[in-house]
Amino acid sequence: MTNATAEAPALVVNDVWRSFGGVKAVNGCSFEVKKNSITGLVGPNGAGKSTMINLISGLLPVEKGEIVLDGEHLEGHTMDAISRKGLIRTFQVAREWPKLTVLENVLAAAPAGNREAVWRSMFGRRALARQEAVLEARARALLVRLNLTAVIDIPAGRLSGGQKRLLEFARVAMVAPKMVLLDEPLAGVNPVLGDELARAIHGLRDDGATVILVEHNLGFIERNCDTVIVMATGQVIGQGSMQDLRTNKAVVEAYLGQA
Amino acid sequence: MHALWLGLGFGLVTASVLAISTVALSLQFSVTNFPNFAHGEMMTIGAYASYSTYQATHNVFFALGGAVLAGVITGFLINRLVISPFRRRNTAGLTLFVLTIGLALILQNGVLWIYSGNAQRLAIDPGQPHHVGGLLLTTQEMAIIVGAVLLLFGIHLLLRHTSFGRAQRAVAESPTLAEASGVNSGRIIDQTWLLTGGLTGLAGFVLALTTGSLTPGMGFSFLLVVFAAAILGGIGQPYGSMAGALVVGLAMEMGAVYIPSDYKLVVAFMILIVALLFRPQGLVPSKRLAAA
Amino acid sequence: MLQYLVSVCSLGAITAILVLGVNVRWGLAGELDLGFYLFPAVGAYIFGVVTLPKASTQVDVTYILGWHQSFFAGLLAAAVVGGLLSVVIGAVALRRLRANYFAIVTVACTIIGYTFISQYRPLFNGYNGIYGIAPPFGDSIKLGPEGYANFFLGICLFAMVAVFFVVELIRRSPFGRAAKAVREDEVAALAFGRNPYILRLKAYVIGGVVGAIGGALLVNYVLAFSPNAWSPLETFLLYGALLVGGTANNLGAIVGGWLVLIIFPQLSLLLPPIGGNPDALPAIQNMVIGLLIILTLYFRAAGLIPELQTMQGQFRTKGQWNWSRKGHGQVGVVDASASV
Repeated sequence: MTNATAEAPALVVNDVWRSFGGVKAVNGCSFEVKKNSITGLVGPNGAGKSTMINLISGLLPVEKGEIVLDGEHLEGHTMDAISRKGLIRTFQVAREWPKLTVLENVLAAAPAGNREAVWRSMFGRRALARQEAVLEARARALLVRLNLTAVIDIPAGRLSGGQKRLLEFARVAMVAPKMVLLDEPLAGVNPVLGDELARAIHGLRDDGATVILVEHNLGFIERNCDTVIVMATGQVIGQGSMQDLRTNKAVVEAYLGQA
Repeated sequence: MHALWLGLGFGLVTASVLAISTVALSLQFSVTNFPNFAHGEMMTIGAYASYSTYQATHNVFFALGGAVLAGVITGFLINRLVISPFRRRNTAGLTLFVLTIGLALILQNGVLWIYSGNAQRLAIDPGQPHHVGGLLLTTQEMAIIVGAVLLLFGIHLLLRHTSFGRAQRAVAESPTLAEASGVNSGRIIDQTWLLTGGLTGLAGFVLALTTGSLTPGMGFSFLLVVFAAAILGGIGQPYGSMAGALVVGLAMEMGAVYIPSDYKLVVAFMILIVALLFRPQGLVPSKRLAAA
Repeated sequence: MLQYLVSVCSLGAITAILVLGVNVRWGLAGELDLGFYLFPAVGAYIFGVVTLPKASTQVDVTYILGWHQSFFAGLLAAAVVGGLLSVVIGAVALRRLRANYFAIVTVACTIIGYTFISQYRPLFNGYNGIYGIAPPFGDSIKLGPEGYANFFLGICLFAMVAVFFVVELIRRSPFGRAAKAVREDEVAALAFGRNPYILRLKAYVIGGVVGAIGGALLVNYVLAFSPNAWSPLETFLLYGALLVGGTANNLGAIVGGWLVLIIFPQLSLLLPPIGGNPDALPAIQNMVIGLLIILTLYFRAAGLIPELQTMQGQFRTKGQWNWSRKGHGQVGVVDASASV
């Protein structure tokens, strides 16, 4: 932990609050996430993990508090603006664009830049074609890495649940984000694919991203995360390695004790 | 000042027609979860049915019965022949909405085919004018207002104090939950179509009474006014619909005192647009967004 | 007979342009715009008042502008005004409204527009409408009536093909892909940094411009335009054509426009006359189109020419960007064994 303080954290969450009609979902939540780490976010149902993810990614507005990514404040920004700042999230249900092909899904996820200006569909098409070709080569390489070459031209809606998850990793990798929030990536996936998804997660980290992983499967968390944040009743009750947390009384009482 | 009282009287009458129609639209929406674009045409059919019945019998009550019966039959057929086959495939609500556009084309032009585009006159004597407070209302207009109030009170009793009403509200809340607690939601949806069909047919008859003339497009012109009232009151909520109908009806008719009456509909549509933009309850957030 | 066919085909080309406009909004961007016909109507009126001479010289006719400009100036003005009107309506209606409510608001806007145009005479001469529009290039081109009809058909067909090419380029472009992504899943588009509102608004404006251009050609075909010539209901017929032809497919839009709105009504004229009133035939035609909407949604929801085409048993999006197959295929050779 001494090394971590030397380097600025990738993400700082400072005293964040959010309630729904009087029910406090997140009350005074604070934590830091180390750069280029894989950090687990765990806790019992209703602990506020999903709300926290939605607050960081901008799907829900923050009532009070600060969220800082690499020195940039995220609170008060919309989801698309936060995404353009380099923070990409996934959802509990894979959200592919069903009528776009797998390849188009990956290309449509790449940062838009000025490629999506309407006039460029008519003028200066050769320059656009060069830009697209570079992206397409990258997209194809990612799809090879994730074993999706066989389905590259198929509408994404036709993929299996596991393939949709892998496609999601390809889309996230295409952005080359600073930070990735993965919301239960194992949900609805055949357990056989677990190792493949773990490889994909480490792949994102190796490409330079910081990963936050919300997951119920503690074994998966322990095998893949450097550090784990435990939430209960809207607050952080512990942070550290899985071994440290097993000896943390508050964490055992609130969460691990049930397992 | 006198003109304003007159506008108030017309407003109450329009609000009565509107309330019946809007409650029907809202009840139907609450269990099926898509707005029925053919709702206006169901009104048109009710109006023309009352016209034909009246031509044959010269009896106001038979005309009323004809309109209700035609509405019930139309509601039954729409549900059975068109909506149910799609519902069995779990078709998305937006597709069902597009479906009702096709339906509106068929019904409206069916009326046009049978009755031609010429305006028909429903020659029912409106009776003597009476002074009620500061208002001047004909016997017919008073009957419409009183009848609508009684009818809406009846619907209130039906929803609150009968087993059908409880089941209907449960299905409106959540069909899955209702199923889990032993309600046959399919049957409730079928019955709601019969009820709203009858109400819509009746609303068509009353609309024809107030305007005096019938055209195949009459229901469609009125449809957006109904949407305005329904959305203002919160679509899918029968009680809100009654309040919405009162506001829109009064605004249209009292507005007509100050601006040319040709722009009456514009007043209703402005309310519709403003309600949609500034009333968050009027906006249904996408289900997937809520699930995220 | 041949002259009749030429005339019908001109109308067919114009109708196809209108269906293409609907397809940009509903097919590409998923905007259920039931008020589309406002834009062809405004295009027609604007073309009229820009090309007609000043109103004051005529008896009891009033309209704005009266600039007596050329065909191209009229076309340009129609497109610009159609686009501006789209920006205004779209900026409000697309901001917060979702599908059903957006649809209802668009119908309301169109009926408001219809009411104003019908009632407020100084704008476009109210219920009597504008008339006396000169046939395009009628002075400069010395052709007999038949030759001129062929020439006008040429203009319409050229416009149809040109509009098709433009909207097809848009559909295949990264912008088209992003618009489709917003249509398919708006939240996922947000998560990947797209602004759905802006993308939708752009598609809405493109659709409005295409509609206005179609309307400008339409007024050249009928040479007059009044509220009698259009009603908000026409939009439903355009949707019928698009649904049958193939939603989101531009070729499908053209095929649907011709089949449903031109060939079918023309063929039904050959049937023995149906008894009853003079409204019977158009009524039955519209009923059939309504029925076609329902049957298409039930039996072949993707339409005659679907957006997604099957090829050798595999699905693929037709006409996607496959730059790599055009000689860029070796950019960044992939090592399939690369560890993840």
